[in-house]
Amino acid sequence: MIDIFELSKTNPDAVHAAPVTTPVGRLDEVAAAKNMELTFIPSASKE
Amino acid sequence: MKLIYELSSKGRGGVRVPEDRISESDVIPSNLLRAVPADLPEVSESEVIRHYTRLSRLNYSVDTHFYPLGSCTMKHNPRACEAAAALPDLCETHPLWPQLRHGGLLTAGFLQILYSLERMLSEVTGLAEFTLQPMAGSHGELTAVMMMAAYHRERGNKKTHIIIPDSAHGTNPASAALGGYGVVTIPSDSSGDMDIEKFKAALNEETAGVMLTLPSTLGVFNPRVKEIIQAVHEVDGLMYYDGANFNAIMGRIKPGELGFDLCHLNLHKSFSTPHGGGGPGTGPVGVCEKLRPYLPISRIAKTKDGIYTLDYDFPKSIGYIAPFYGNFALLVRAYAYLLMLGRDGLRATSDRAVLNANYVQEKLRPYFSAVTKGRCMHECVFSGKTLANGVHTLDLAKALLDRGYHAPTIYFPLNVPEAIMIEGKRKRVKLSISSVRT
Repeated sequence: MIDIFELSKTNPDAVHAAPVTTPVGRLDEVAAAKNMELTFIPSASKE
Repeated sequence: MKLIYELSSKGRGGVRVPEDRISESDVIPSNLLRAVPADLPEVSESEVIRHYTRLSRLNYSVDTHFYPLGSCTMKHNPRACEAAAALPDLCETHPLWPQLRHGGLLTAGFLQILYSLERMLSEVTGLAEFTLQPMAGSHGELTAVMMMAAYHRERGNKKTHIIIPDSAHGTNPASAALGGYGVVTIPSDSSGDMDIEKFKAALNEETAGVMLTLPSTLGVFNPRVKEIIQAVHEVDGLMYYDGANFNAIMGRIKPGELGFDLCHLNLHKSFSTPHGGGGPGTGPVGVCEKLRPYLPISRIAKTKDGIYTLDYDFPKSIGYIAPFYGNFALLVRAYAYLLMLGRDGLRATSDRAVLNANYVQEKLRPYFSAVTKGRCMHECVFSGKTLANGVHTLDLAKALLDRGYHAPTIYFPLNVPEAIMIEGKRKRVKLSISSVRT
């Protein structure tokens, strides 16, 4: 936490971009709430 | 990572179900039979195993990471307690058995566990008797409010409201309202305690009781609690101890000896059960002597011959509040946990929780604005307003994920701007706690 505190002073963009190492990055929670995908529709699959 | 439906390939399968000699149409009415096959993924057994194993590895879990959430917390849950709850003789017992004729004899061990756990909880809280039936902390709160209402009704008291500090869990006012009372909210003072002067101004003959979380959600133990209890008793109000933070005082302070009349305990927080995914929970409620008649039924009794039985003959009882006897598997875990720790172990657990939280608080105090000026109890609360350049508490939480730590509780309690709530836990080694602060 101290590391992140110091980083907020020297490189705030890096903190704003986190997380970058997790399987899923920062989610757009507003978009997710407005455009909810609650069921799987085969035709909508990206594959 | 693909969804399991995206892995589906027509005709593929893991298990071949043998043809049944009885056709579905022979036993299920045609209007209830599915006309079109269910849209299930068609995948091989090894694809299923690999898919869900990969998914499980994406999880943050208490088995793989430090987990410093405050308040509704993932405490240490010993595997021995899990093993006890999974014993076939316990988890396969049918809940109707004890209610059958002579069923008590067939389920004597089952009833003895419940009876003994009730007595243990009475001992650690200093209260006269417990019900194990409430299925969650909030359910325990409602059960307690219903008993408060029954008490006041019988005495002919005209009570209209319950007093609750603003640092309480949101379920407190919800339970009071559901129990038929209005809610009077008292703000916290600069030290995080309920403002005593505003409390005294709100207290009157119409006060049914006060719901107090001790230590508070800010991790503060109110030093004037006995003064509050005395004032409430002077207007024939009842003091309710919200046990959400009992983790901080186990073996040190008994709410009943402080003067509390009712109390709920979150066994899924303080007494071993994996928690944090929304349940299952269990919130037993203890009461002082004068409130015993109002406890829910059925109650477990022990005859002079040492036989355990269910007793329903309590005409003043608030009645049934749950089916059967509560979340039994969770109660077994709590029973095993209490037996494992004993009195000294229970005390040491709370001591460690408080020590760990204070360690974290003092290490982070130069960087973040701590709510508590002095010592905290089992959790410490900071404001992230000291972060620079538009970085917020949410950004801090996300950046912690990159470093391999689950984020602490953030933006709660609501009365602390940019709140960061850290519970140091009670079993973590110093290495884990130190690394989260550096």
